[in-house]
Amino acid sequence: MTLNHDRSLRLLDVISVLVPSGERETWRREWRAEFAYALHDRGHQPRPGSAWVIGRLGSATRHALWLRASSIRLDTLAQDVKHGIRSLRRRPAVTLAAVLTLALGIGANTAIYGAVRAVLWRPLPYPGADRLAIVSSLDRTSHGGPELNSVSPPDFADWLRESASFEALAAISDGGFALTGSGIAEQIPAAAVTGRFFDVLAVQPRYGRALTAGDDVMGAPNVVVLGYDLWRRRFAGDPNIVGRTIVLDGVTRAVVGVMPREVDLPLGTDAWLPLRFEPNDLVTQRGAHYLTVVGRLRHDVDLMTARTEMKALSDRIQSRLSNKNQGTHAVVHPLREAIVGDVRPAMRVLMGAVGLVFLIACANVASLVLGVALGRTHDFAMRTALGASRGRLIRGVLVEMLILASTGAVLGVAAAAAAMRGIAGFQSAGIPLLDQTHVDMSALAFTAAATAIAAGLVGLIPALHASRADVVVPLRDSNGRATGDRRRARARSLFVTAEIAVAVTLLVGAGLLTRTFLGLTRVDLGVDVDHVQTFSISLPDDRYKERPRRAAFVKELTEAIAARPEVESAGAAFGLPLSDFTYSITTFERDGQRLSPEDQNRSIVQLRVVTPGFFRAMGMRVVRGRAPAAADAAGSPPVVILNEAAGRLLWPGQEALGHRVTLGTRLGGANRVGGEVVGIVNDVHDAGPAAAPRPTLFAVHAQFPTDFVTVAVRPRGTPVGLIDTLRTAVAALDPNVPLFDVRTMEERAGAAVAQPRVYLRLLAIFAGLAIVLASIGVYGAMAHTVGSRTREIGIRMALGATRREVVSMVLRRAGTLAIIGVAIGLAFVGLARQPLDRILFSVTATDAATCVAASAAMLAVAWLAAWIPARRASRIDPVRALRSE
Amino acid sequence: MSKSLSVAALTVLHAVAQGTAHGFDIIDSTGLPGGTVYPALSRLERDGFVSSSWEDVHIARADHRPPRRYYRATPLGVRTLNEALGRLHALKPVRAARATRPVRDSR
Repeated sequence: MTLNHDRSLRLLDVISVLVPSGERETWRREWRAEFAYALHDRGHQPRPGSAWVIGRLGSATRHALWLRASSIRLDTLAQDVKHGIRSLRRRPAVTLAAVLTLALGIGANTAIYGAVRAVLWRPLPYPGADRLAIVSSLDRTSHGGPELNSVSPPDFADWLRESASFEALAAISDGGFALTGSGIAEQIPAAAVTGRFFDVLAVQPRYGRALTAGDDVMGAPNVVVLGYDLWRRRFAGDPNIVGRTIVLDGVTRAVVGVMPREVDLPLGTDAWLPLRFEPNDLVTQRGAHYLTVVGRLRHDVDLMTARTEMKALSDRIQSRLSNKNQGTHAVVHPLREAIVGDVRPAMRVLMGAVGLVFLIACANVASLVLGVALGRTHDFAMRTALGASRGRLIRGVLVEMLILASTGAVLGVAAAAAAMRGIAGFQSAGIPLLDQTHVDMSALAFTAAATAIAAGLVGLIPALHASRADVVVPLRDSNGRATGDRRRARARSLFVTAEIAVAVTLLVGAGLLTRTFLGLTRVDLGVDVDHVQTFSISLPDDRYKERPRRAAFVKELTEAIAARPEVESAGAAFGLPLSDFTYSITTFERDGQRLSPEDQNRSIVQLRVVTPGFFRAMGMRVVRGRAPAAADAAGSPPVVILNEAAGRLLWPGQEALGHRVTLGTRLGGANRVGGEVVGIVNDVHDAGPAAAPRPTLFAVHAQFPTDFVTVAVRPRGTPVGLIDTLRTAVAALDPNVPLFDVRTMEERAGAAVAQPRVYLRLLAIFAGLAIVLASIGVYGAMAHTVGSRTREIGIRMALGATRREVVSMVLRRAGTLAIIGVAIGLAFVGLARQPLDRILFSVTATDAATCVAASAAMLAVAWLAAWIPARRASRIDPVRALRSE
Repeated sequence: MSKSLSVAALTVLHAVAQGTAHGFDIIDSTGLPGGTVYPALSRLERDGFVSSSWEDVHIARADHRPPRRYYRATPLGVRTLNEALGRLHALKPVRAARATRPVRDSR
């Protein structure tokens, strides 16, 4: 585009808006003439190019801004401020109410802004974090639609070798490690990572060095990098820690570095150690999906390109392998998306809700100050008569509102800071990064913007009123209230309707979330969680490498615990119900028949390994057949138990009992996991009440012993000191095995509904605020209406109207407004249907019962708020009312 | 002198007093950015150091363009300019002071 003459002139006209009106015409004439002269074809001179024109337009803008800035005389501004403060102090009650209301509106918005920013917007603390991505396997054939899966070592190795989109790729395998040696034994969350992990994050250690490419080679020294929190907590922030050794899972490792506080990936990691693959694993373990792969995109590669490349790459790998990897594709997601997951719709709903509270607050304050502004008609008229310009009057009103809003904002930010601390404390809610919520510059900028908007919204009508101030009428006729009253009443009705609309929207939202929450808690999870205590143990490799030792330890431990008088039953499992522990494996053989690759992938089940007492301790029912028994030992024929969903998946329409099944994993042993199906147990909603039960196969721990188990203990009654008893029981077998993740099953079940509980709590607070503010607004508006109609009501009563008629007249008016408001509010809910439906369960956004209940509640509140002034109106003494003018 | 003028304002006033009458010409002759020249002109006019009027409409029309605004220095402006230049002239050039501390080798 070249900036020709006409375009420049048009842009000048746009810029001229900035110039104060008194000087605008002169400014425009001068600049147009100069441009015309410069761009004029004078024959002998080349005409200047676009860059020149843009430069001159910039000069024009700066000139216009300078004129505007120098037109605001500081002395008049100070006068406006002084005048504003004086006028606010003259009406302390109105001012206080307005400031508090605005503080609520602005504070709530700042707090939610902070939370949303922490979760969705604030850059992750790594350089160039927008180029960090998670690469996962997309499992196209799994039941219930495509599911993101972890990555297997051979896939990772192929990607590493062949992909061109990434500067660096690293694999992560996170888990827990027993930290022993110094102090009490403790299970710490740690991640084994491949060599370039810290290159991907592009972070530097606080002390020592990061892990490097040499560390993940088989046979390299055993090293570890500590996380900031662990270093502070366990090693007192000792700067000389580098070079010392610690013992993790019985392996002595040299500390080579300490990471700064902000490095936290995967979230909650306390230490990083090298992840090493047996060369053989990189060939044979194609089905072992347990890695998280993180990469840094190259500068010249965007997400879409990387996606295309990785898809082509996985197609290539697949074709080479013929069958083994069918159905998986590499997919690339931004790191934040992978961390945050699907909380986006919920955040959107919360932002909408809190924005509505803001609008209600503004409407209330606008309605409050409206009366005051109209009461100042004389003041405005007088000042106009004395020569004040309209602009000056408007500015006066806006400055006053800005003082009001700023005072509210200061209080609001203080409240928001407290609220954010509260929000950051909802850690157990499972909303990632929410604990990073705090007041920062961006939150303050947001507050400032909200304050300016509030001042504008609140001051809009009074300012318009001031600008229309008529010099003659009010000064001549002190009785000229009729017109002002009508205008006031119309504006008030508008506010009342809007407030009711917004409040109904929030009420419906809160109602829907309440029903969601109740629906979630009412789902039978498939386990009986009452009083069940759980803890996990992980047997260190150095002493429990032999599988019989693991089996023996777990057997002895569970039997010892079950034998205690205060314990009703006890068992252990590799993979607890209601945990996010998913270990999904393809089925390898059914009744001795090798499955085709398609069938293998179609019959993926979740693998769990249990001890005989486990189902009883967990309150799971054996529907048919039997639970594992002590006789199912290492030497005896292997048996498995299926849940009903797995039975249906593997033998649709048949009885699964008596059939034989083998999975595509050996769990580190000599034989594939599998055996004869001897029992069917009920389904469990592992992924929370909202998700369908996963088909699950239970193997027996004595036959397929794992080094990691979670022990579940169902006590008799509610014994005191149960956890100490359990600790003692573990320590009696091996004092160097720490207990971790000690939680009741009730807590675990609660975590599944924690997220909706947080949303419910916040939305309930907003709806409560909204309904309180709206009822105050309705009450105020009705009280004013009745007050200004005192004379009319007096006349009506003098002419024979009964009290009842007066009351119903006022209520009718309120009712009309309320019904219109409710209708608009329900329409709002319809607009918000999509994001709402995504966080709802067992109810939809257009749920009739909820809408009716919320509407009824709102109508009742509105009528009540109108009834008080209506009753007062009916008590008016006609004689006094007529005399009052 | 009631108000002290910035170097930029003095430069602009000097250009106007020498007969450079139009905004864009002043920008070109002084080499100052337009965003400096125009505010300076507006302030000089507000303070009474320059006055402005419009070009004769016949000249402009003959040239097929709108009349330009032209600036002239007022007698007050010329006096103020000369005073300021005189004060500047009284200042003598200075030789660069020697470093009081030896500068250390910074690699």
